[in-house]
Amino acid sequence: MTTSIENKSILQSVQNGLQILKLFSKENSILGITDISRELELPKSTVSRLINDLISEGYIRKVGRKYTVGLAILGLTGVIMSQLEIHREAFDPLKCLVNKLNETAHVSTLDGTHLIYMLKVESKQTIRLLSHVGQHRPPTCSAPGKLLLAFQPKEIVDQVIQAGLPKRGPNSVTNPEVLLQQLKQIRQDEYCVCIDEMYEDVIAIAAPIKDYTGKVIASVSVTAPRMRIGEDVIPQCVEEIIKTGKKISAKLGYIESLQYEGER
Amino acid sequence: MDSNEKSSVSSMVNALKLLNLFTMDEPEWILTDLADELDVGVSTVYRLTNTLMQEGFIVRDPVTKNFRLASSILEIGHYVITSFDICEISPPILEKLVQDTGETVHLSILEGNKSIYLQMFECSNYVNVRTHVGKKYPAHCSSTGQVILAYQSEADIDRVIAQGLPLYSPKSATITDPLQFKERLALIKKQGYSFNKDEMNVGVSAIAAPVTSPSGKVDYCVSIAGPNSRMNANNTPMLIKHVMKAADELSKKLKCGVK
Repeated sequence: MTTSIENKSILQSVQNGLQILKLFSKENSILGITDISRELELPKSTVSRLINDLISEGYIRKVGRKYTVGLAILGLTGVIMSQLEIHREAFDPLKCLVNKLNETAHVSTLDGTHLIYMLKVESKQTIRLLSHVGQHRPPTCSAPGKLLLAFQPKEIVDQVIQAGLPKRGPNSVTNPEVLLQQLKQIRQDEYCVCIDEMYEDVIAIAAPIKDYTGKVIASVSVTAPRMRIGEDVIPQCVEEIIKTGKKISAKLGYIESLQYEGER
Repeated sequence: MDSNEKSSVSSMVNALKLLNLFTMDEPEWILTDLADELDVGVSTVYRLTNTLMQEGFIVRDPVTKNFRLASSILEIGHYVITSFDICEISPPILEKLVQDTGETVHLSILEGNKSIYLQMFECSNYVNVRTHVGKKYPAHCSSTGQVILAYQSEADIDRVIAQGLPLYSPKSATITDPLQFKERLALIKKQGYSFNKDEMNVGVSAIAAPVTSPSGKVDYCVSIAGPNSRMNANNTPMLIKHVMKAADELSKKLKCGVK
């Protein structure tokens, strides 16, 4: 729970209303007043009043006798997407990469201590891996997550470690010491390969995307079932992914040669 | 008196109104401007923004102190899209339409007197209509709104007319006369498509065709939009054909069901 000092500047009813919005998910796309009041431990009258407010602004809409998220949210996501320069600049290079490797590629970034997919280009393979834009993932079990962590300040890395290192796939790193060692290596290599860390039999490879200041702001990654990317082709894939990361970085104003001079 | 009026709006509604202030043209706000725009005190806005930040809807830039929308909203937005079955089957058809026409393609829905973009597939033309998914346009002056409306009941059409047919901007060629508007809708229904030039944004043309749901109702439409120079008398007939074909394909695919 939040401390009392924080509570003073938080509006309880607004917080409840926003939490109602966040209850909806792919699995629970339609909810009734009873479901919501049980989930948030709020009286039905409170829930129903908040729902009316949310409906009036288009954030929730009625489906029969229940409710789902309204189209106003789409307006917000549209604004976010149109502002993300990286979203505009990364699309073509990402498509190019997917055509070359015929595997699904993502551009992702860190949202606080979570990995979030911002852009996805799907491969034409019949066997696909489920993921979607906006999805949150624990950073320590994924290639783009670890790559981005490797370039974060120590405080962020500490926060992630403190929150606990979850075990998702057979090879998830759960030991902080090992993680720190890996991050150090990634910082040197400027790429990251993860095998079986999020899911069994899945390989992911990630490379950095840098802005004009040379800061790593996002990651480009490819994810595939292991049977399609064997040990022998990993180096080739790594090279293509690094190249794509550099292409996007260049479009964002990053000039490699200048940065090297600057660092020396 | 004034404070009474203000308190009649709940803080929840104020929070949502605050979110709605973030637009493509004004994606960043400072605290005092938010207070002015919402007509509430700075201390209220302070608490509203704090709550929105706490729940991950907005973030504050540590350097500029400006507020902007948080990318974690993308996740909720994704659920909205996936709740529309049509959005799962549409991408190949709409991408093909981009290739065939070279213009940006939208899939829209009608909500009251507004048409809303559910999906957008951008063309690679440098000169492009600047818009985004979720963007609302007045139904009466958009090709998308007109085409869906043309297939609705008389009562629905009258309801939209009753809400007014305002001129979109001083130079727009918006149809503002109810009778003329009804004639236009009848024409659209007869032709099976809408063609719209300068009725909303001056210099922009759009073509839209209806998508018929398995129930026989028209809930969605497929459209292209681009500068008048690229959508001229020479190529418009061909573009119309492509748009109608894509809409038909989508209707057929809907009939077969998702998956």
